[in-house]
Amino acid sequence: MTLQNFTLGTFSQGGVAGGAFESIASASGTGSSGVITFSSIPSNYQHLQIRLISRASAGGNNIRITFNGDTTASYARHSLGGNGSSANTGGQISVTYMEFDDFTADSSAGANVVAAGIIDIHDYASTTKNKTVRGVGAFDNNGSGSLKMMSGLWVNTSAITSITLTHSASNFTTASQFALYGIKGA
Amino acid sequence: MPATYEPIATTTLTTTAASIEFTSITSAYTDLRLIAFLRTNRGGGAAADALRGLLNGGSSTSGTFVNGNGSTASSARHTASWLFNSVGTLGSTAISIACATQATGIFSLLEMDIFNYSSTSVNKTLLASCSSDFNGSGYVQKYVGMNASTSAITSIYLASANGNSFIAGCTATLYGILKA
Repeated sequence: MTLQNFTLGTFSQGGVAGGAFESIASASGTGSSGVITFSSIPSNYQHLQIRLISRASAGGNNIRITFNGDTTASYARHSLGGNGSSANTGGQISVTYMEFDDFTADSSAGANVVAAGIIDIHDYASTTKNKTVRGVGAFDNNGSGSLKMMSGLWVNTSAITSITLTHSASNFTTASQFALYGIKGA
Repeated sequence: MPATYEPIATTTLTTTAASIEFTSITSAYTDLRLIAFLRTNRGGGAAADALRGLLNGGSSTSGTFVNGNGSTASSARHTASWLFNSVGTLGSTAISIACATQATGIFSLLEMDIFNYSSTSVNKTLLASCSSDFNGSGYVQKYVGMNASTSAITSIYLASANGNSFIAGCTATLYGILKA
């Protein structure tokens, strides 16, 4: 796997070989960028998983996901969540990114508070299926907080070779960590 | 070097136990993942039992719940207390698990991810899911917890919030996940 376009954030390649669940790459926020990109993703896994902790340098709690640099209106997403008071649900279709809510704690959160999230991308290398994405993300701030379960769709049958995570409003702080894993099929 | 995803420790109860605990957790991984099948001996016709825990023996975890019970979706929260709340209300402000009221062989599934658990620069955020289907009743719950300490997590303790015991057959496995 070659590394490209990793001038934003601190990026490392590696992984411990063996087993069905392998580490592909990881990245850290820099405080001066709201973009993390994993590119040149190998096609030899069945599914991908991103595991993250995230905090923003200013406002905004959401992460926007795009694939292969596609910023056309080819995405949809739905959510089910709760804010500590009530359950909520929502959705969007034909939008230019897949917005996953509450995957980032913003700067109003208490010191050292980060959101956490897991994003699963199934059959990412298929060239016959549109791409289905599942996510859960949340933060708690000891008296406030929010949790969201997300589904997403990229209406495109191309194999995913790059994933871009963009903060909805500001930058990822240096506390933000992103890790990409590959899950093998039988 | 550890593998990317591997078991650290497993507990399988062969008799009742008041708690399940993992101690001296290695700092070698990035995230921890706990998968447990749980049931207590709470009787008296209770709908379920409430689960609570401690990270590093401290009660400084706050959390937000999203709940479903087959008829209503809800959300609730608790401020700094035990992991999953000190006691709480079943299906609302408590992680609700199978007990003696349920048919034999029914256990609840708890999954919990603790992110960057060995970091000393961030508070620890965890995501948990609890699935409890009792064939006619039950709960599905998601939970985000925030342990307000930058200390690395070295122990996890689980117990009934009502003083009951886990029964024989309960299992819990702690996995480590290592990033590149």
